Amino acid sequence: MLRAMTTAASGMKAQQTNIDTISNNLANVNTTGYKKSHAEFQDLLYESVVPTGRADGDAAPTRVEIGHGVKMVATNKNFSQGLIKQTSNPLDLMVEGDGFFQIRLPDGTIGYTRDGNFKMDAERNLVTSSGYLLEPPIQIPVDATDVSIARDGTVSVLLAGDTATVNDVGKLELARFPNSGGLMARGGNVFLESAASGQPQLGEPGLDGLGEIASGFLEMSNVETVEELVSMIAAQRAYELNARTINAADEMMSTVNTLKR
Amino acid sequence: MLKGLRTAETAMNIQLNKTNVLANNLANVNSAGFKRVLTEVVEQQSGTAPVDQNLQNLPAGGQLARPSRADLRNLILDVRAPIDMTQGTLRATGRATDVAIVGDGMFQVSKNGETYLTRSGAFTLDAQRQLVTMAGDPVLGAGGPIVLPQGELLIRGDGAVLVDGAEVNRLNVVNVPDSGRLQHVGETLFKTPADMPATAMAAETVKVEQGVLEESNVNPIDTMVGMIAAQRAFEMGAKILQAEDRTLDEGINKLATQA
Repeated sequence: MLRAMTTAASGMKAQQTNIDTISNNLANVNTTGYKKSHAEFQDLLYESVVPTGRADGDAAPTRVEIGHGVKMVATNKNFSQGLIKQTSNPLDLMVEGDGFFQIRLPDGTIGYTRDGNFKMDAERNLVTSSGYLLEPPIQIPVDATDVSIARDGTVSVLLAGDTATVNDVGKLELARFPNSGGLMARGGNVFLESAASGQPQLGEPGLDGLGEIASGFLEMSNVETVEELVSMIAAQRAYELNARTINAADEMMSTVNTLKR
Repeated sequence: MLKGLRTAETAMNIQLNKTNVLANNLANVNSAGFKRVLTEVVEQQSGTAPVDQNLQNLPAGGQLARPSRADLRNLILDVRAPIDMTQGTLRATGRATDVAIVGDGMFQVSKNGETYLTRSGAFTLDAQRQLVTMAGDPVLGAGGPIVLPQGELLIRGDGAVLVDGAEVNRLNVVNVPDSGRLQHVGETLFKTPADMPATAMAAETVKVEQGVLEESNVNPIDTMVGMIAAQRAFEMGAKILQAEDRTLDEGINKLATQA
């Protein structure tokens, strides 16, 4: 069979995955803390059809190398800051800069998220929208009248009947990774540590290069719709080009089939 | 007897190879840093082409017939596939670890102990904060692999790598005398032939841009036109083959029955 066919098939498969990645970005254009991915491609192995040096000593200046198509090598996550939305809810938190909130998943492992849309559960613990506990846990007293979260992550409350004393009830901790692009997406805005991401380094917001906390703000997704749509058009056209290649290869094969009367 | 058949076969094979090369170009229309492979068909000027025996045995007076000898040579065609290193379109990505070379030069990448060249600056960090390609192979700098401390990464136009304003390393940007002789090894990497070592470029001649990727330099329209041409040329080869076959049919079956 003609090599061009499988080459073009690899191109169509790659573009299909490309469209999948783009559509996932677009679907999450309004997801708090979502980080866009971008598909990266590389060419496959090459086969030398004519060796450089020939038996008769007539060395060709260039070689004939025929590639075998394309492969998707990574979906590269882009951890640039997303759009900032003001909500005025003190429990809506945003990391200004590097760092992830830590949350305890139901199986006991720690997850990492940029989604600071926190709420209180029945025990007045700070939890994510999915109900996962913030780590380290922070509990708001029942008789608290006013909650405020400082830029360094200190959570303080005013208790009923005493407006003069500010009570600290806990402090947020942020985590950062040697390579945040290598984190594994778990879904639900949560990332997990992986071999590629490296070990998390914990720290206080605002110190050691970690971002500060902004209360009353949410980080929206960093998806740019125009960019995604342009990528989508390019991916669709690339898909069509590869389909045309298969067409051409098919017609050539048909020519071969009709050679013999 | 089969000379015409063989000539048509060569022509068809060349168009097949051409189609395969073009298909690979098209498949990589979205691969960052990919360089298209050109296809050129050349006639081999080889003096060893066999000459028709009958013409050689012509008597002295038959020398006038000599010029026709060349026409009866076996047509030896060959495909050349040099790499076209022209600049691809630059696309802003905003990722701090994406780098594009503007103009001449190539990055150096270490893979399994060997050094390769690439135009693709789609880099990322690994768990040790080494600058690596998307396949995880370390990018080489002046002091070996580039390890970045935590902090704000800035890659200057001359290839210097700075973190929080302090220079930590410098991207190796190298050049080869004849980029057309580089060998594709896949993963948008190139190998240099043993007799053509890469030489480092002087810092003032290097121009890189951070947050930008060089896209594939495949032109879809050119490639599609090339593919249609190859397909039609292939069909023409098939027609010649059939015509030769018909001639043989006449000669063998019809002439023989008349005799």
